[in-house]
Amino acid sequence: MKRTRTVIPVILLLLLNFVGFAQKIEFEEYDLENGLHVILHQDHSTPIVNVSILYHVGSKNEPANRTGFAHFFEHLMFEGSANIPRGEYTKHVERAGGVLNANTSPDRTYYYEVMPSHQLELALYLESERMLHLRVDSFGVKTQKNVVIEEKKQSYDNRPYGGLLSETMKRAFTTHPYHWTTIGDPAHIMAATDEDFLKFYKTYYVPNNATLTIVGDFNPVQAKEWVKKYYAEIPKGTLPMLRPDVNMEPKQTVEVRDTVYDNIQLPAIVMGYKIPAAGTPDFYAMSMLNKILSDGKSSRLYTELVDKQQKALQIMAVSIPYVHPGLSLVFGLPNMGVKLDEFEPLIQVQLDRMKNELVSDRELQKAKNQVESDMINGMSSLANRAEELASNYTFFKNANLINTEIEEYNKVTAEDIKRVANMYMQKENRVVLYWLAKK
Amino acid sequence: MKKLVLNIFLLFCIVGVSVAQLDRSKLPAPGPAPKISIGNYETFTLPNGLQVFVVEDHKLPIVNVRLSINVDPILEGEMKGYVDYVGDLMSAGTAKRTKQQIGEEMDFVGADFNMSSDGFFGNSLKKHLGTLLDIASDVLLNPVFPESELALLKKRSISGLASSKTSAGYMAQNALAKVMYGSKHPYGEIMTEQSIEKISLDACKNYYNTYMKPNVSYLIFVGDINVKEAKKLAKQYFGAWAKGTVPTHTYEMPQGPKGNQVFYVVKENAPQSTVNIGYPLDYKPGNPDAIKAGLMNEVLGGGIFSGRLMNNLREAKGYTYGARSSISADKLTGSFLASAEVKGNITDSAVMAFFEEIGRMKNDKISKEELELSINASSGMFALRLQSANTIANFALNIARYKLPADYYQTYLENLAKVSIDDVYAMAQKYMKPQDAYIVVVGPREMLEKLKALDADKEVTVLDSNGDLFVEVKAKSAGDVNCKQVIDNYIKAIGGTENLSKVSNYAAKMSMNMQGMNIGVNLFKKQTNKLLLEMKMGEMVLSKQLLNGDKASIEAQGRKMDANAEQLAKMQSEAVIFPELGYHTADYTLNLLGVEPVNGSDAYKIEVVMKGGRKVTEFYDVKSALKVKVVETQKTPMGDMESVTLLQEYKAFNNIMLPTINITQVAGQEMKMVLESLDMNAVISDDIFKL
Repeated sequence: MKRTRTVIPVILLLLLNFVGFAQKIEFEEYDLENGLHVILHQDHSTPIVNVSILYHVGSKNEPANRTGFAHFFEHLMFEGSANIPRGEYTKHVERAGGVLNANTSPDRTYYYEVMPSHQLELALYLESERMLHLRVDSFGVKTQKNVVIEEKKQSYDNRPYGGLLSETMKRAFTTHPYHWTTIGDPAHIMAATDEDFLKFYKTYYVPNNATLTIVGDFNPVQAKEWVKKYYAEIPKGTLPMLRPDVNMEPKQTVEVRDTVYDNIQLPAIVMGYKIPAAGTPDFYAMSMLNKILSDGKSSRLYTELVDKQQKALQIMAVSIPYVHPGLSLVFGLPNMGVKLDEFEPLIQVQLDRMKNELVSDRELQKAKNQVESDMINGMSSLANRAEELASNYTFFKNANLINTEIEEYNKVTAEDIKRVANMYMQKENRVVLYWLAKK
Repeated sequence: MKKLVLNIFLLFCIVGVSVAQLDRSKLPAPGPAPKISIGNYETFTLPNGLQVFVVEDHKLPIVNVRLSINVDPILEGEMKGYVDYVGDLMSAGTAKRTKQQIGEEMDFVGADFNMSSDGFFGNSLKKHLGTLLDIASDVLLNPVFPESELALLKKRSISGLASSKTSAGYMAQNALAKVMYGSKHPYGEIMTEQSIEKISLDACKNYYNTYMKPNVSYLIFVGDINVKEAKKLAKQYFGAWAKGTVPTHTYEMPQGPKGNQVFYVVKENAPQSTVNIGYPLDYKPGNPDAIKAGLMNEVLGGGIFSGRLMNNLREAKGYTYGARSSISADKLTGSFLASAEVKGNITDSAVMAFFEEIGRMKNDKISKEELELSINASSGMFALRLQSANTIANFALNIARYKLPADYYQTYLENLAKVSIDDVYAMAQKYMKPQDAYIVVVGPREMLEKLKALDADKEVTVLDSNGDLFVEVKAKSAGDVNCKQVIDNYIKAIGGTENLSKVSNYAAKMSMNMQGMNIGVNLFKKQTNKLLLEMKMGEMVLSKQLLNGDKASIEAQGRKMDANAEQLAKMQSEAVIFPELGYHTADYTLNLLGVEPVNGSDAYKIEVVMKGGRKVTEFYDVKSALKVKVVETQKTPMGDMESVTLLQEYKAFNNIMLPTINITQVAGQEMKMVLESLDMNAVISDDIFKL
């Protein structure tokens, strides 16, 4: 008796550990003949299902005189289809108890529905409708033009520091389309004709440029059948797609320094360093470097500038995961009365330390622990898992990165961090913007 | 064999499907609806009165720990903001740990932790839960409230206010708070620079000692933890927390307006207006109307895209990116609020569209289709929220806090499905007040007048960015004083006409600090029309401006250019050593605009227009008669920019008083120039002015 009692808890414990730490995301993936990539990942813990389509088109695929198109489609795609009258698309989803939305980045556009699991077929049908024959009518286009202009004002123009990222990108990139904003130029949107939109639609919103992801509570045999039913007949796209060259941006050789005047009271500073694309070893090293600089109250910039010297209200360093070589940003708001030309050298001291000294073992381990915690927390929602799977497939042709990416962070050494600091955090490799009060 | 048959059959089916023309005009029918089950929670109470909830969820090795302290909001009065400081002060050091240690230990295990006056939130991996709880309980039970942290918090709050001052959202939030609740209600108090200054450490400590007690608190564990573990941890880390009697507070229920009342905050040149329409309601959490009224709001403008406000203001008119409404329950006072950020020049039409929809809810019954859609959408959202175990924890907390029936959430979907068109109509009669609403708008000045028509009394109350009545700072009348007297007094105060007119040579050395570098400025003037202004860093000349008669050049960074006509005129006017001596001549036109304070002291404000059009505004202190400030608007590629120069620390040089500190502010940046030496008898060779 005694013996058994001690044995069982040990086995249980092992089992618990096994269950608890088995975070591997199991999935399957395949292609339809028309090129649509499909990823399925089951999780039956709640009766909901997440359906998403990632179109491999973002603002970087737009012609220079038609910026904002990818984002504009984020609005047009809710206008309906040949079989769905204007205004009905969202109603179908909401009437079924689902929610839906979309978002656009320079690299891709992402559409999703989260549905009660018995409405999976409806979600698949709806997404297939707008992939097959989107409704592009003049009234809808006209209304959405106005809505998008108001969105731009709300999110950028009428918001203090709203243009921070776009003003930095504009100066950091001279040639690569990253230099324009995702929301685009209102003049381009206003000037665009229905035909322009149709052509863009026929080019990019095609199965061979899309990844369909189904995550949650569903029967995979049934799901595959529906995918075939609604998507197999959608013709493959044949129009040439604009794919800017990864390395089209010439190497920067001199520091870019500028001032932006905004309706603000407290000045701000942004420093943007050119860094390699997401997914490269140096990108991971830069991400770890930024964690040590500004993730948490014991990070270097926070401890020094916010706590000890009391010069900063806010300070942040972050690498943006762009698919082409992108930016690592340092953003700071000084406390009242602290001038930017006094503030900037204080930040620089901390950046220089990264170049001149190795980070301590404890700091490196801290950053790794933070990554581990972030990643596991990030897996808690179906929506995050779906998006990770789709992006990892689209950009790296490796959906399984969702399970292995943590190793890439763990590979980073103190020497790597020092090396990338010296390699990328150079004066001639950056943009520095002073954000000052407009009269 | 059986398997083979099945496969062939399947194949047949699939081929059949793809051959048959798919009828896309029909929506697919849903499958059988899944059973929505709401997860369980366990609860127990420690001897000190701390009630603990545990929601198990072992999908991921994460645990969230939350402490919720439930006390009545208090009036903070002239120290408004101090309750917000309590949590930060607690996290700034304990008997065992410094602030740095707390931060470092938490960060090291990748945990999140945030302490505030109403509890804390923590998240960590299961393996680090001990560290998280150890620090959390230390912060909660042994804080030392360091004085230095209070100073830091004040500094940060002042800067924080500055960073949000120009945000329309911030202005709207302040105006709404003041308008809806008034300053005698905890929800109507606004933190300001003045209230921050007054915050005392004692007030913060006192709040901690009075209100933060286990017997008014709930501790919630969610995640990879079982009840046994939770019991052990709760006892270990929070068992020693001493109970105490906590005071309660009640407040008068704020009354809404009689008749629509318009309030306006001007945000100059704003491209959009932030529109808020609302009023307070007696609407407590879990009240019997909650489900039905919530559904009514869903139809009008809840979380869905297909709400009426969204359809009208966005999809039909393109006025906005989004328009929504909410009906919020609260123990002290609930509220209704409808809001959007709309295109500036149609603000009045947008407000009318809101009222059209609010009125329509009250006047007409909703359609069967709308009822179905909103019930389904609300049920769906409820089910989606169940994805997170934190939702179950919130349910448990709400049941305890608001004394809801134990099966409130278990029966929620059932009760939702029962709501009828008539129920929604009855709720609209009770809660929609299109005749008695506050209309609070932050927007461009031009729209202010147009909104008068929407106010019951045809008047708009203008508020400032703190939500207080806007009092325009009008220039005080200068009384009987005229320009001549002001200038004469100034000339007398700095040395008199006789002394001043003798000066024909002027050699000044100044210095200033820019980006950590010391820059020397040399200024030479010789009457008439000779000027040299050079800026040097060490021996390196950064820039040089030279005027000789009617020719001038500007040299910067090694490049020399002839001055254009405008620059020439400006340099000529600056070459005059005491231009005020000539203010009475035809070369200058003066205009006394009134009296305005400069650094707290009244000053005459005089506009000076020079021959050639250059215009500056000068301020002469009423008491000392000295010139204390000069303002000039300059055209730049970025648009007009105002430069403000403050003249300070007047000192005597050969019986003539001159300012020794010159502070120039342009575009939020400040340059301070200090006069090092001044010689008004110097012999200055004409050679240095050679172009």
